[in-house]
Amino acid sequence: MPLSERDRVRIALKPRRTRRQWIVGGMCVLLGFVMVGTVQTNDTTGVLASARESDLLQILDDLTQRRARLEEETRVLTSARDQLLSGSAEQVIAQTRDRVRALSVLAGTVPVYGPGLRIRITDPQGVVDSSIILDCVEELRDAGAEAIDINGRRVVVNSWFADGRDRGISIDGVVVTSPYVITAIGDGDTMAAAMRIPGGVADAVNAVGANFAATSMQDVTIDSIVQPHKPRYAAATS
Amino acid sequence: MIPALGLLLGVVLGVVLQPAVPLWMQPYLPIAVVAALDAVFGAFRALLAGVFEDRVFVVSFLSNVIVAAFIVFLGDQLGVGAQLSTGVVVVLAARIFSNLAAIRRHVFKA
Repeated sequence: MPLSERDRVRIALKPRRTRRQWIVGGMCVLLGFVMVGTVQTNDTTGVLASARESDLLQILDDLTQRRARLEEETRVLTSARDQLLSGSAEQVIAQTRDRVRALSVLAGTVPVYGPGLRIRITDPQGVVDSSIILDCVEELRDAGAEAIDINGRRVVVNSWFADGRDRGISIDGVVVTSPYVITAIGDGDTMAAAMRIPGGVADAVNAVGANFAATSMQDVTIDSIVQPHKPRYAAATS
Repeated sequence: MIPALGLLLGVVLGVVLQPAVPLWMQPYLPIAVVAALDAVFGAFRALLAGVFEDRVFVVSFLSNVIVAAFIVFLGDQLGVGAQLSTGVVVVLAARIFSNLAAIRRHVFKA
């Protein structure tokens, strides 16, 4: 009598403690155990642990390239941050501020004080002309004057002198008259010596019949300033 | 009966013990498991056809596992491990499907 499939399954499911059943059962235990173990290994260790050598090399290559890109980015950003943090920007600002201060003194845009020389030229007869005053200014500059003021007019690099229409002297278009008080900031003794050299400013003033007096002072102040004017033609190259 | 219980016991053991698969085994074990599954399905088909033999099952189980693992090992040595293991899995899966089709015909007569 041929057995139906149902019968065969029923027979197979009937527990028979034969040695072969035990062997097959043991192998099934092993199969289930290994199957679950593999699944769990895949779950816990992810792709890398079970990946093949060539795949790992590919992954490593990708990671290396990505790391190189990120390191380059890090380097750029770090140097930018260092520039911002290290105070080099502040140093530049401080240096620039110092330069602005020094140039402001030279350009005559700020009031200044310091040791210097005060010259008083009294000229009741009106014999002192602009060339004598110009000589005086040039001598003072040669002797190291850093700021010069004549009767409240700041003398700067583009100042000009002319004789007044009737009397006095025109400085930058403004007429000043005797007595001329010239204040210079610098080494007072050096400038005083420069005034006294034979045939110099003092002699020239005295020769035309005016009175020259110079006093070296420890602390003089020049309050007059000039408005800086924007250059029309010259542009800075840097 | 005992094999079915054994499979269940193995799964439970695996869940409880959480075995760590040794590193050198990791490329081969998944393929070996698929090969073993193929042997199990083949055995079930043989059972339904009335030609099941314990000896055949044991031999086919072991040879399937060993040959599958060896092919993958060889592929790794030759540098085509990934492709070869894919091929082995495809072949085994096709066999499993044909076994399942035979089982389906036996059970549902269709």
